[in-house]
Amino acid sequence: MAVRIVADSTSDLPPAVVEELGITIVPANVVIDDVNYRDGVDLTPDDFYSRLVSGTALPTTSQPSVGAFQTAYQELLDQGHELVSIHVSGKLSGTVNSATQARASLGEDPPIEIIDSQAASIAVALVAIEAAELARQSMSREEIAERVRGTLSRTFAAFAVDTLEYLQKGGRIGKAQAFVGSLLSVKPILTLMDGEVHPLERPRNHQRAMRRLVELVSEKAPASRLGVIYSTEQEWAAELCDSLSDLLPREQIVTARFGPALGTYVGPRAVGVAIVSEG
Amino acid sequence: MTALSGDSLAAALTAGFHCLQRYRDPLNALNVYPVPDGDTGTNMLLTMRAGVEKLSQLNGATAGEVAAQVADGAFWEARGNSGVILSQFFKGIALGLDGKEVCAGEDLAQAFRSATDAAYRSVGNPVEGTMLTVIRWVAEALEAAVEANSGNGAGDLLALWETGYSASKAALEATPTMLPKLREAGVVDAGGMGIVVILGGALLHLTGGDAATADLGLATAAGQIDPSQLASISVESDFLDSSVESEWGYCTQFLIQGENLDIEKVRSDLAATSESLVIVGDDRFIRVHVHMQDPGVALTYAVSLGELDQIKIDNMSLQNQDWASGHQERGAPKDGITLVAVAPGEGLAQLFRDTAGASIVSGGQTMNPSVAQLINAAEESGGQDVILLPNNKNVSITAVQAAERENESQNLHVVETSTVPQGIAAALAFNSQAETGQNLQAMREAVEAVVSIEVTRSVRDTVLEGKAVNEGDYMGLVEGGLAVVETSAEAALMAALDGVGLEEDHIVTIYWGADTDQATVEGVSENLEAQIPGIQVDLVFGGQPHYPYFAAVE
Repeated sequence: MAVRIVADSTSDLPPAVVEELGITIVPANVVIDDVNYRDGVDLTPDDFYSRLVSGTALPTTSQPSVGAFQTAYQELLDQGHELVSIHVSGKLSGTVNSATQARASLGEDPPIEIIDSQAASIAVALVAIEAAELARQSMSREEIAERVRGTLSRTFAAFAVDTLEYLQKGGRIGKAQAFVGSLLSVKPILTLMDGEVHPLERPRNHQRAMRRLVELVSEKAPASRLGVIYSTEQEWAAELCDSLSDLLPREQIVTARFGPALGTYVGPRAVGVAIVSEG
Repeated sequence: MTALSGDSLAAALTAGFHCLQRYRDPLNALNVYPVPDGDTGTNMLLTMRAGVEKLSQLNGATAGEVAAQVADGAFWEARGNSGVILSQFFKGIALGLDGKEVCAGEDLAQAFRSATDAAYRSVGNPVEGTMLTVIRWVAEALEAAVEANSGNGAGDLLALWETGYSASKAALEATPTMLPKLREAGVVDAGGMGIVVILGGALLHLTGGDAATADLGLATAAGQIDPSQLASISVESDFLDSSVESEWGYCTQFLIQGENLDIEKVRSDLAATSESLVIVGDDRFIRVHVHMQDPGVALTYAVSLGELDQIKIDNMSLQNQDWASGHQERGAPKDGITLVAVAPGEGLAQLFRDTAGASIVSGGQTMNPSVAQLINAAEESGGQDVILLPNNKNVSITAVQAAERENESQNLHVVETSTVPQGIAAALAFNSQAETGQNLQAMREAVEAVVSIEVTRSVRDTVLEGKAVNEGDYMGLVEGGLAVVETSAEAALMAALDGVGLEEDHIVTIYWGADTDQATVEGVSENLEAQIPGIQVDLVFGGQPHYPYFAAVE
């Protein structure tokens, strides 16, 4: 009997990592032009971004259904596993609700630990990876949950967008409203705080935005985990990995891609970085 | 006469003010910098006027009360370096005469000593050969005379005033020997002459003369400035109107909403019957600010053009009576952190608004806003913490003075930006969601990271920093210092940029002025991009007067 890790698709965990660590992903739902897709199952990132750029209405993402969680949990429980289920911030999404309802439907106190990460995307991915590695070391469900909660407090992520247009259109601009409307070209750097988008800085071009992302993460070193993420420009992610290789060996840096959940708001040509500082 | 009563002191100061008024143009013309910023006379005049105006309401007051009123009025209207120093001078005088029924000889000496201390303290880095020296020499002469007289009672006050006046003239003549910049330009210090003029006007009054027609026999420019040039150096006429005539009738503001509005026609129609007209807008919205004897006339006219909104009418003569206390009482609850930026053009004002939600005070090199204008804007911005961006060296000292005032409802901070490009860099680093301390640090770092270029036209022949400049030449200033002199604005810009040493990862932002056309600036941009592949050149309409270009290299 082992502990298995469950996450949802908005964590943007790279498929190769999911496979290697045996993480179970429950897909969110993406609706584009009234058609429902399961994120990462019947909608690829390339499809998504081409439709985001060309489409008139913004895609919408909704949490996985209770049923999807039930199915996933049941299957793993049937195999005799205990579960740690790590999800996007409850302030951004109802995912934790769905998971909690599914858990409640599976009898008296099933061995499932549900964790609200209070984060999103690559930051959740880094934490889920840590959980999966701890599970491989045969750590107990309770111990993993406790470690993960500690890790969450040492996690920081920031992303640079090409334009604030998508955040604004999607109604998620939040406090980054303060950065809207400059006549100067800027590449705003944002972060998530308390489930809301917060403005950090306004570098004047892409090169400087990349440099600042690296600096922001370096300020939090030493790093126990690092991740980079992109929406459409893979080589920018590679550049960030090169720049961050002073902090961690390059092969340990996780490269992920913004899925539809965040991709809808950050838009094309966005990049981000995430760090878990050493405890 | 052994002492001045409060009323005679008031009359003497008022005469000093009238004399200053008479000498305003020569003082403006003395400004040595060959950029269009002949405003020392204007700044001193507006500062002192606010002080003297308060005297008309006093009758039978003590000398101490008279001095205190002048100091209080001058504080609010202080603008520019010379105005701020003058306001501090009056503050020192008031401190020296505090509690005095009349002003006797030793009181006068003590007042000038305290004024000297206050004036020196008001500038971060006191420079000799300026009005500071003039004030100090007067204090020293008065002290020496009082000391010499100490055996014979208080001595004659008129004789003492004459001693002070002579000392001020001697100091003024010595200013070029102390300050190389003055020597190069062959002039005496303008602010220093302002002090001489005030003392001279007062003396004239005390001896029965008329200060308003005074000829003090001062050599305005050591014979080296052609007097015919005086007329060519003028301060923005709009600005003077709005300042000098500000208690005229009703301040009337409103917004016209309509279709196909002709802003130029509205401007000329209203200009005929009003003062201080400021109009901004486009063919759908026009915002009007105007001073009129009868606000109804403006409203009747405007309603014929479209819908009116945001109508605000203030009676300026009533408003003026207790202006200062009005400032202290207005206390809507304050929240968050806001920005106030001084901007010398509509495009730049828009940029500061868009970039950082800043409240705007219009002004700059030739139009130094007053302490009261900055404090007003800070009030209106509604922040608990307010960061001021002066964006000009001559405005910086005013901003510092505004921030130093005790204020219970707001904390004012200054990021001492001395150029517009520095101001924009600071505004971009501003984050209304971050803490004040963090903001101040980030903004100051941003200011450090930008190199500022300003291009302007010389208004006279001169030698500056070892370079011969002819009237009409274009000067490229880098970080405030003269770097290049060329015959066209574009050549000056390119040469200044070249001197900075551009590299491919630099970002150059060019803010083009009111009299520059877009096609020309686009040509400059193409040139730059061709010369330095990979460089980023951003063009922004600044709309500033007198400066065809501001540029930032970062």
